[in-house]
Amino acid sequence: MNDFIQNGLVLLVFILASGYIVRKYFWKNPKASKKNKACGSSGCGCS
Amino acid sequence: MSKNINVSLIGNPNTGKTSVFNLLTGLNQQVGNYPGITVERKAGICKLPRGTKAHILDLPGTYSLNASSLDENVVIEVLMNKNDRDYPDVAVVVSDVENLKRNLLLFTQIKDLDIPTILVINMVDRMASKGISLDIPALEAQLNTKIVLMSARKKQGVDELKNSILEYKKLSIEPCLNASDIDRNYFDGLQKAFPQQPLYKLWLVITQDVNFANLDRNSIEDATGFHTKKKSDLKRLQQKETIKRYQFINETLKKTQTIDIASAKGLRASLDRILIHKVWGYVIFFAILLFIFQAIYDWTGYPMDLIDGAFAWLSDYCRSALPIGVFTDLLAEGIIPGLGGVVIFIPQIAFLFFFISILEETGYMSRVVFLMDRIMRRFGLSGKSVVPLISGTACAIPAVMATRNIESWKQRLITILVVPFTTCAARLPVYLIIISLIIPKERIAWIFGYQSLTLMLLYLLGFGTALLSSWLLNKFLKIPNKTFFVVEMPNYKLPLFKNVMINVIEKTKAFIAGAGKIILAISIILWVLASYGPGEKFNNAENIVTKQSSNINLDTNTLESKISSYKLEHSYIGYMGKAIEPLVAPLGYDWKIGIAIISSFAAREVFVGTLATIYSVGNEEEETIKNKMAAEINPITGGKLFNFASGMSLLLFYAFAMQCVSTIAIVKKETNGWRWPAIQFVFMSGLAYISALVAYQFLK
Repeated sequence: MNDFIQNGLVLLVFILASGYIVRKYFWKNPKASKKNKACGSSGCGCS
Repeated sequence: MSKNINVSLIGNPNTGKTSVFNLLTGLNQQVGNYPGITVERKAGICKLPRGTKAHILDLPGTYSLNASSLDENVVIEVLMNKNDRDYPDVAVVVSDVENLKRNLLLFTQIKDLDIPTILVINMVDRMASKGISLDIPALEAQLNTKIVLMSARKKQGVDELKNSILEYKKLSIEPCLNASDIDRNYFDGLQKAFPQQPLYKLWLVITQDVNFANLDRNSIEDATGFHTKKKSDLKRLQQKETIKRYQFINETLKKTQTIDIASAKGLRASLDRILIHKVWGYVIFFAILLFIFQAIYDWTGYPMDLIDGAFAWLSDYCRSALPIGVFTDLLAEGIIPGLGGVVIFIPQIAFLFFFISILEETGYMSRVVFLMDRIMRRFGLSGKSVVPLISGTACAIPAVMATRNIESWKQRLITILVVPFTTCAARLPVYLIIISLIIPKERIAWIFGYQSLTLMLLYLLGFGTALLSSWLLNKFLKIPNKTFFVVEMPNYKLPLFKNVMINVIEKTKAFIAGAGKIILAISIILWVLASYGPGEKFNNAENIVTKQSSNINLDTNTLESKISSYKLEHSYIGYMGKAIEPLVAPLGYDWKIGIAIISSFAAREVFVGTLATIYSVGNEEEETIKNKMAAEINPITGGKLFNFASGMSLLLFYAFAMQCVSTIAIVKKETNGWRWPAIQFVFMSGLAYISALVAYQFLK
């Protein structure tokens, strides 16, 4: 029983950790990317 | 219900806008006694008397409304566009009592935009020592506005400012300058074409490259047939406008300000003569750097040992207090050592930020900018590039954003591309642990230690590589370039302990919060990958090793260590590590370091946490991270894994490699595409690999 709970907890924590990394580095939030404009409305400063 | 009042805080760089903002809002935005701290708009709420609230917007410092850089455009876009949700009901122009003449240029421009404007004269606590006296009622009458005297450092004048904001409707919006005086025929024509629009606003629409609702230069011509002038003529008129404004300011100050030069104390000039001297200036700067790095080593040993020991104890405690099982192992061998690998560096990072904050607060950092400008120019950079390069010592992300105040796109791009070479806080844990393993603790002439000298050399190496890369980029980039550099030389001030501590706490917190979550997640993933494996070799490790060792007489500890090592080699991470080992072996690394390098491509500081996690799996003999790393043996050579050759190779790899996903993302954002971050990544990683290879092969 103890083994089952401990393995379950490890699996849960592993999924949470992997989900966090995927969300941080690989998941593109479309709302955020629309909001962030790099070069001002006139586009000056960009090549 | 009363409406929120929109307030814009505007002013020349280094007039203390952000200090005023912090006083009004109770927030803790970073302040510093050198220009260019604020490059983006920052917002906060201020509670005013009678239950009214003000929405305060801290805008980047600008000398005038004739914008030449991105951060200055931010100011104009807010002030010009009535549809902007942040369009101010009242503008608060923050000025510095010692530079009132120059500061009033911006004030008169903003007042002419039909926006009620309050003039804050900051740093009034210095008036007596500088021999300055002001006739405030007369100045208010001349400028036709409300003036608030403040000392943000001493928290004086904030209540008066709040009351003045509340009464903003009583302020006159009468312009300081009649725009028609600049060129009567031209401006009369412009007013006829747009009778509803304020004349000065129209003038800015024509001369500035910013959005103004839906009006722009072309639409003015299309809609009215009114012909704007050639660019050269517009420039001439802009100069005429500036002259007219200064005539007005000179007249005003002549009647209202007196400066008694005899009573002014000349400490600043005396200090400047030494601190920005063409020889002594650099000598003093390097001596200060050396002192900082030595202090980082000398003053942080005890708290670091304490933290290291505490995490080792916590790990043991978990193992003894929790039920035996894999989750307990994950806590004791994965999460706790992984986090310990970051937390241990808090004292050194906090000390570094403490010293940098003091340099900023005293005003010395601006002298460094001035000193560096002399060097920068030879490498195709401007003095303004120094601010991002220096702020890069904390983190490359705000440093890349700080390039927005560089007018020339070529110089800005070069600065963005070379900033990641500056030694950021994330490199510090890697440097510190490797240096402590490979460089002896001895001192030269009882003062400076070899370890602190090595650390300083690594900082200089980062800076030097940034300069060299700039020189190369300057030669190869074919982008037109024309720029000038004006640096604000603030007065010397005694650092405010509160500001320094806020800075230290905020930056250390950001480092821990940013890196901590990633390191925690990566530690968990790595532990799972190191504790599970495919196939029989992993599952039957105990039987296989026992059988293999049956002819040799091994004690229990050695046998257990052999089993752990065998299991690790046949775990998922072991197979992954072995796959990349051929790539890292020529640099003097084993597969475990290879895994640490790969995982630290997310963020450099993950390196130490990763090694702490990998070395903890099945290793119960050594308690602290440093001891675990020092005990590792290179399986190929049989000698110590972290020796002088492999250590130097690692230091060089981390000095040059672009290992920060967040920096790549911000470079992509600031350059509007993948091209430059891709070039930057390939160049930096290539340089890192080659230099690490050469170092190891040469030193081994």
